[in-house]
Amino acid sequence: MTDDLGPVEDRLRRALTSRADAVEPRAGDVAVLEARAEAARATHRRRLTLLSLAAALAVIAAVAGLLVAVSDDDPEELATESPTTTTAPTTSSTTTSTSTSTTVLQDDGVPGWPGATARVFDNPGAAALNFVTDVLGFAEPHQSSSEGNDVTDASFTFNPRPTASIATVVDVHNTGPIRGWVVTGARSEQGTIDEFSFDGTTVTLSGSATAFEATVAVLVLDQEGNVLAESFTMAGANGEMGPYQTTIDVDPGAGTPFWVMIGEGDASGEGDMVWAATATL
Amino acid sequence: MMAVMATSPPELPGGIDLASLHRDHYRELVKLASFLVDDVGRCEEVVQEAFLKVAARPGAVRDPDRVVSYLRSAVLNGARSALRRKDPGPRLQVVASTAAGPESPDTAAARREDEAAVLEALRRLPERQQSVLVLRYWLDLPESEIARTLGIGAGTVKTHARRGLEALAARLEDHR
Repeated sequence: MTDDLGPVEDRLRRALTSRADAVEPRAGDVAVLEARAEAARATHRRRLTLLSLAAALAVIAAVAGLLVAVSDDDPEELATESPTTTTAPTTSSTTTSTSTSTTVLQDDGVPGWPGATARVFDNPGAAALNFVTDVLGFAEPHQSSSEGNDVTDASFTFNPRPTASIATVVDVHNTGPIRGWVVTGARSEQGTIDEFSFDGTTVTLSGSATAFEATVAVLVLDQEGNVLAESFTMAGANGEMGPYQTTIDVDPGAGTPFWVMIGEGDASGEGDMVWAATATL
Repeated sequence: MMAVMATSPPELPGGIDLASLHRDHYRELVKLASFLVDDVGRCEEVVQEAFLKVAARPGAVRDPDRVVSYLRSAVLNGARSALRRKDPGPRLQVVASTAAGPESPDTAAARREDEAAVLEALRRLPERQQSVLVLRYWLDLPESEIARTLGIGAGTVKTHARRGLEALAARLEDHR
């Protein structure tokens, strides 16, 4: 540096060396680290498998719809009224959804899940239930309450299991007869995203949360719920909310980011998340 | 956090294996965190989380030459996050340096007091200046490596180093 700062440099070096010499870390357990890393990767793989399956089903539904249209010999007819009923495999709820064979929907500008795909939910409960099942990966989603109306907006509260006390509230909005009900966000008392920004490649977010071992998952999703980027941050634990601040990079070629999501992984390994909160990018 | 499953060697970029990376850098990284966080146990947690980020998402670091830089950056960020979310813990305990030669009790006490004052002043600097000074004056990293670790330009490293030292000098002058 310069002569006048030389003495400060010397003092700083001495102080840093002395401090470092005084610190004697315990031996780190790499086996525990590897086990935790494998568990995290397994969760990521499960989510990707689920999303791949959903995408495959969507393609099959689209092809089937096209064949129906051709066999009817009426190319002008787009949406048939031949609903298919889907029910979440492990849910205790009896909510069902209706899908049409329409494959191209108008972009009505409403941000929500699902995007412009073949999936159309004609009732709010079905949209919310399929969201917590397909996107959040709740093991046994249990709807504990609901608010709002069946006309424009509604909110549904889900526990990841019937016995769980923690909950996630899913907000849904009716975009109309073409696109139907979409999920506009999720929130939980376990965590909040208070501030966030996105510069095209990096999402910066902060807020507060509590999670097992203070480990909070951070994800960036596209409008179909596909994970574009995933990371972790540290917040509070044992029911005590603690602040977090983190960044997560998104591959510019990964698609259009839509949601940033925080949540807690399912410690049992049976589901992906036990709660989640989102913010729209 | 999640269920422990059968483990398999993580595939890190460039064929680096996690055990070797951990063995070669764990101690250094805990010491790095200790410049910002007094509690060594908390420093160990921060470092463990940094390794977990690399191991759980190996694709996040594509260049093998950047793995250590990434770890250092994650540790510095994690240490600062740990400071924000918890009480600062006990005040810095400065113990006798093992490098100290024969010195009188008065001299040793004065040296320890000066070292504590320097570290206290360091912790009051802006985050970026703290990181640059630690990486430069403890790890002796070149400007290019500091720039890569912190994701800033080499010129910015110089600026932060100078401003940090000037601020440190001013705070230590006030301390006298």
